[in-house]
Amino acid sequence: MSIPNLTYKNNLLISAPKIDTDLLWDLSILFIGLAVLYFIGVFFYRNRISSASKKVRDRKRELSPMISEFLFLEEDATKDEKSNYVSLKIEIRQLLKDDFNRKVLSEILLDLRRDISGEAQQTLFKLYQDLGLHKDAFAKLSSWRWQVISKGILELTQMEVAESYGFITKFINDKRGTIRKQAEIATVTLRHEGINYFLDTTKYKISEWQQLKLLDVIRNKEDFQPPRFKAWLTSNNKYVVLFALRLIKYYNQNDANTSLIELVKHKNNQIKEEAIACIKEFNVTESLDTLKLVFWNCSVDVKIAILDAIAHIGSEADIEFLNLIDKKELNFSVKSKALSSINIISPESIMPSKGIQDESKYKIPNDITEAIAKMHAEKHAEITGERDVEHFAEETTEEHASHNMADMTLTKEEFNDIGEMEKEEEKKPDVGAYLSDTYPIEDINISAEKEALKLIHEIEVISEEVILDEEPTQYNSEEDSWEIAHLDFLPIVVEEERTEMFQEAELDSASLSEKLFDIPVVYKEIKTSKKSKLSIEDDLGKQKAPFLDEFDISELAFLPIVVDSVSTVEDAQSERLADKGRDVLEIMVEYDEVLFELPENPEQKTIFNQDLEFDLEPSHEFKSLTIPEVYETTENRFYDRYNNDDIRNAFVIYEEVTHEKDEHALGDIEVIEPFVFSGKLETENYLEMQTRDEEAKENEVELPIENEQFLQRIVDDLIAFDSKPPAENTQIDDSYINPDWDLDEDQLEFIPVSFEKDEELPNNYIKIEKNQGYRNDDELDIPKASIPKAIFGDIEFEASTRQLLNDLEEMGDQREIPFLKELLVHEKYDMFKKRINTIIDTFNHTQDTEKIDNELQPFSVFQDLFRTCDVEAKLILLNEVVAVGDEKELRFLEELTKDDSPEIRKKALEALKELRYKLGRNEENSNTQASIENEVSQAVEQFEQVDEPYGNPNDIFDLNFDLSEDLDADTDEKKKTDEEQKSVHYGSFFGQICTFSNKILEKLNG
Amino acid sequence: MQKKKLLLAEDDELLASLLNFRLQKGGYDVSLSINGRDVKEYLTQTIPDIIISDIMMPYFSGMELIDYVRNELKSNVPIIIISSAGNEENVLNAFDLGVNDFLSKPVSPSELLVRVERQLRKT
Repeated sequence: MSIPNLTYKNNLLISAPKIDTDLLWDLSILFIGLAVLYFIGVFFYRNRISSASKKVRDRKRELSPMISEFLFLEEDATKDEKSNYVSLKIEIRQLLKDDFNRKVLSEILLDLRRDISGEAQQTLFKLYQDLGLHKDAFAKLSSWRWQVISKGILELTQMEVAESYGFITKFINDKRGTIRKQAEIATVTLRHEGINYFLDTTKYKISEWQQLKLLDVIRNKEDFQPPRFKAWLTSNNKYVVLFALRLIKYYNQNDANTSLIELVKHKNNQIKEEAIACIKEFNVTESLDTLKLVFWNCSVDVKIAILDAIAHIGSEADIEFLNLIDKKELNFSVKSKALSSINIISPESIMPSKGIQDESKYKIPNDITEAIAKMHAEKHAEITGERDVEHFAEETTEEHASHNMADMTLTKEEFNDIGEMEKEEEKKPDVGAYLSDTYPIEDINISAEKEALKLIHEIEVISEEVILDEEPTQYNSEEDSWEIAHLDFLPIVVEEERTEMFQEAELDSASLSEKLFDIPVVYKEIKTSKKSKLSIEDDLGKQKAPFLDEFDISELAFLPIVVDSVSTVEDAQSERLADKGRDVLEIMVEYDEVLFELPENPEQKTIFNQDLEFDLEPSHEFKSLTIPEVYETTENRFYDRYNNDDIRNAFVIYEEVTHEKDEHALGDIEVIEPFVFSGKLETENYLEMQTRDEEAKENEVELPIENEQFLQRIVDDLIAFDSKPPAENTQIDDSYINPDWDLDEDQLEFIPVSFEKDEELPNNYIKIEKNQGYRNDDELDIPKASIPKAIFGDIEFEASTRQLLNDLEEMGDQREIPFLKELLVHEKYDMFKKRINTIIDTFNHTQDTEKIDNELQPFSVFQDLFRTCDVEAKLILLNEVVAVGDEKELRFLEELTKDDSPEIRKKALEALKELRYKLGRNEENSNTQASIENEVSQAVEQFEQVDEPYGNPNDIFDLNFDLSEDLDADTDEKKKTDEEQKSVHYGSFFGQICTFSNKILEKLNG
Repeated sequence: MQKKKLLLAEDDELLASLLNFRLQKGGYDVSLSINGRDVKEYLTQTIPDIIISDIMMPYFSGMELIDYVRNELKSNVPIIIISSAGNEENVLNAFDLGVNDFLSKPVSPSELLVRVERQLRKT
């Protein structure tokens, strides 16, 4: 067989269309071109976006410090800071003219709003409005694009612009969902009553998410008092009803029970469920009938909700209804819920029935039964000691098998024995009863005492606080068993392992006694109300139980200490009595060393008011001693008590000598250096001062003013006066002393002395008030002397004054006149006064006084700012002038009232009024003001036609900027016209000459 | 009196600028870093008297910063962290690492100042 050569013949059924290669090239180029264009476009836009964002970022960096300045300007800022603040405001005002800057500023503030809180955040909100950025947000509200409107609402909400409330509420029923939702949140956020308005007016669905957001808003509102939401349960908008129900539940407003019951009948299942949830929450039991009524026509979810509510608020009377549901209801979930509800109302009334197997199906394997029986038998044998383990095991095995339960039983005899034992032991209280509960006492081959001790040894003590309200039960010695009831106060004991007790053989009493002390006892303090510790011990001693004979009562030391409240007091008294016998000297005393301080009156500092570390006590010593005695006494005492080292090291605290503003206070005498009482030398000085003038014991002296020596003596007297006791001082009579008047007036010319005169006294008399005595015996006091303050001439001061006047005369000009006048007022020397007057006269000759006064007016910081400002900024500055300005600004404002711009004139006038009022200068310059008012009234009237009321003068940003721009335009036009007029005017030669002086003045004024 | 040195590490430039201004006004010598790398570099050169750091920072988070200061530099300089609300887990971890105090955003600048003063008083 030959295999034919298979060849494939390509019959091209589909052939590529013949396309012109040029076309292909063209298409390729076209697509490549499009791709390039696309990438260029992407690149371009990307770059544009990134450059824009970079620009924004850079601008943010520039503006954020300014914002910080605004946010943290403190009220107590210095004037420089305020001035800087004003400049910053002007700067930012200029920046705000640019939309881009406004946008950036808005972004900055919105960003910061998220990051900062507290006072800074409130300032931020205020700043947002001050800068007028909220106007941009308002403008967005009128946009046709939903996203712009939404953004505007968001901005206004975030920056808490309360004024926007009215505008935003219009959007509550907007057909565009995003705007509507934003408006809803804004309405609720901006005002407390916003939630009311929203619930009243909304017509649209409130989504679950929106409800959550709204709830979050009102939940976080400060001082929000929720309205009674039951008012909206009657709303036609079912979502409002639903939301109201949820709010009622959230705010626990349980005053709408009737409405809730009615709403159970609502056709809307969601409302039904919410109403039922409220009913369950508020336990509205009167709704049970309604719940039962509507149950059969509800959906499964509502049925379950109803059953859940019935379970919580229902009673056993409702079980019948629930059983009915169990029988009639087809839905498994509802049936289960009904049964569950029954069990909630009446627990365990419905037991599980399905899938429960018969008990016969459960058998215990034989080997396990036998093992258990054997174990029980052994245990029983240990108890009885005679039992046949095998027999017992067999019996028990049979019984186990018959009962199918692994329960140990005893033989009949044993059972009877145990039954009897139990009967007997039941009669015994507490420990005895506890012991006999399982084990017959007669079978136990140990004595009762030993058993008790053994038990005590084996037991674990659980302590409790036991309060004995009654006396312990008396021990009845006649009874066979010992009575332990009187140990009621003992902690309750629990047996740990009973079997071990039997494993141990008889214990000798000695070892038992020892072991008693090893028992770990956790005890608490036990208080008795009637019986003291001692009395209980007495009772125990008198009524010892048999087993207690073998050990001393003190061996019960492990027992908790019983403290009696009454006896405690008695004990304390007895202890105090016992302490009386102790040697007082043996009492340990903790003490602090107290340094004696020189008595002083802290309010009146004198040269003696130094805080010394040693006791000088001058007041006591000087009262009754003569000066030498004082000296001697003081010295002796001083050196007796302190050695030289002590004195050298004496620590002196200097205090500034201050006095009350009593013109006549003695303390006005300046003590240049503190009186350092640090050694003998100072002591002697002090005593010298003391003895310097013994005649000056009078309280009032009559002095001629110009006597130098006498003045010096007064000063000495006053210094010495401090150290004198009051006894001597009180002897001073009230008369005035007129001492000799020896010195010539010329001799006193260069002794400048100034006095504070008492108006009640003659000119040449200086009153020293009578000493009011000491405040107490331990204090030195300053006598209430009314001595005028004497200011002695300072040679250096004179020299400097002379030099100053020389300099002024040589180099000064008319500008120094105010200073010279000031000097003249304060100058005391006639010589200098004459000189100053001469200099003033000299300067007056050179210049016109009025002109000089004008030029020498205090410089206002606002003048500089005004030179570089436009009209708008000037208006802003004028507000600021009122806020921070003072007298210096008055003249500046007066000048401004003559300004070319009518609005500046008007504003300046207003500012001037306000500043004058502020400075209390309303009454001043009334004529000037009237003239100024007349001057500008015409311009003001013209201005008022287009003017809007200005806001708070302190708030420079309350201006209407749009209006300002118009004004600017007007002003610019006016300026242009003025300039044209000027140019025409200046064009003539005569005009130029006329304006030449003005030009010079302008140059001088900068 | 010499101003206390304070390192402020906050990646949000606006907030950083604001806090920087407030702290400077409060009398501190503030060094500002807007990323973790700068912070680390700064700390290798000098240890400030107190550090305020945001937890979420680029390159070197606040947690890493705390770990670095406490375990590598072995410094007990007080650290206050600033965290966003709902970031409690991070805050707890930060306390484990040895941070001294924390503030949650939004931050009250005045409160921050008080906390800084308190921490410095403790030291």
